Amino acid sequence: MSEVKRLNNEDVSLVDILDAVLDTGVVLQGDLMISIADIDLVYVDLRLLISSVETLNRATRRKEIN
Amino acid sequence: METHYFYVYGIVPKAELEKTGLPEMSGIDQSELEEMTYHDISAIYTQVRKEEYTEEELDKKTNDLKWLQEKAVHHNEILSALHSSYTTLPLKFCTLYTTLSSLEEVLAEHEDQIRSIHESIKGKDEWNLKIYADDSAWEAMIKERHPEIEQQYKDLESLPPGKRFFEKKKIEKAVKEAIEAEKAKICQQIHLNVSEISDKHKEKELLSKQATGRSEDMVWNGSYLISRQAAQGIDQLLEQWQTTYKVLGVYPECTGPWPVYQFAKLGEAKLS
Repeated sequence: MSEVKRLNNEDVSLVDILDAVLDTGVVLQGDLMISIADIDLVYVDLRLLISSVETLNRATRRKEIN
Repeated sequence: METHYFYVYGIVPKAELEKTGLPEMSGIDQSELEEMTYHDISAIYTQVRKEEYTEEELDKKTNDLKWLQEKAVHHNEILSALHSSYTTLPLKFCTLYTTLSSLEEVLAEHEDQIRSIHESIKGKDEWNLKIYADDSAWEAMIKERHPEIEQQYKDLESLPPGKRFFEKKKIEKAVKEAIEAEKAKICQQIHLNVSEISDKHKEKELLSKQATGRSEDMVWNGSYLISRQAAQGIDQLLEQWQTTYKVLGVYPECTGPWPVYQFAKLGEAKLS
């Protein structure tokens, strides 16, 4: 169970991705800027989405840049 | 009148971008990726249809879990691609500017800070460590390690029923506390192992079983900024944990390399 899950394989779960992405990153505040409210994962029920994780994992496979 | 807004993913050094060019990937609203350069920094953006990305529309969309899932995965996919080729300062998910000149103003205002962030994250990745623990394995183990508990349970039998109930509760509480203490000790040890090879770390909020969809509890959630060279030690650490902690029902899981979502902070280099 404990192994490194590298982002370029298919093992990274939805919760890992949402936890990494939501409410992180830099806010470069500007006058003409639109941003979303923070989304607290603690209150999100991801069970609703678990069934679609397989599709998601396929989507997260990193595309090669060339 | 503009018909489009500009969804910005991140900011990279112009010199690095010039070496490889932009990846050929579709943006969040299917348009291509584009760049806007100001002095030596380049913002990577994509155009989105204005009517789909107003503030009200975004409020609605972010309450739609399916949309959130799809777009957060997309955001990560683009940023991971950028991060694997350039030193990338990731912007917050769903950051839009209504005009390109407002984006340029922001770059002009923050260029020094952006440059210093690029300097501090160059050659580094974010790694996330989540530790899950299975309590049932612990209860058996605590009893094994503390034979006096078994004796305490036996002693209960000689007590009158009312007193027995309260004494039993007391023992259960003590066992629970012992489990929590052991788990905290293990998490601390694993966290220390990773901290030793990290430049920075951040403890994050634990997620509920509802959020993780797992049967084990999450007992640790942390992010680490690790140089590519030091990250080579992660596999060895995990192997070491596997041998030591699996029997205890403790499962450390490490994901990466991620774009540096947690460690690019404007505040730290804020100019007055």
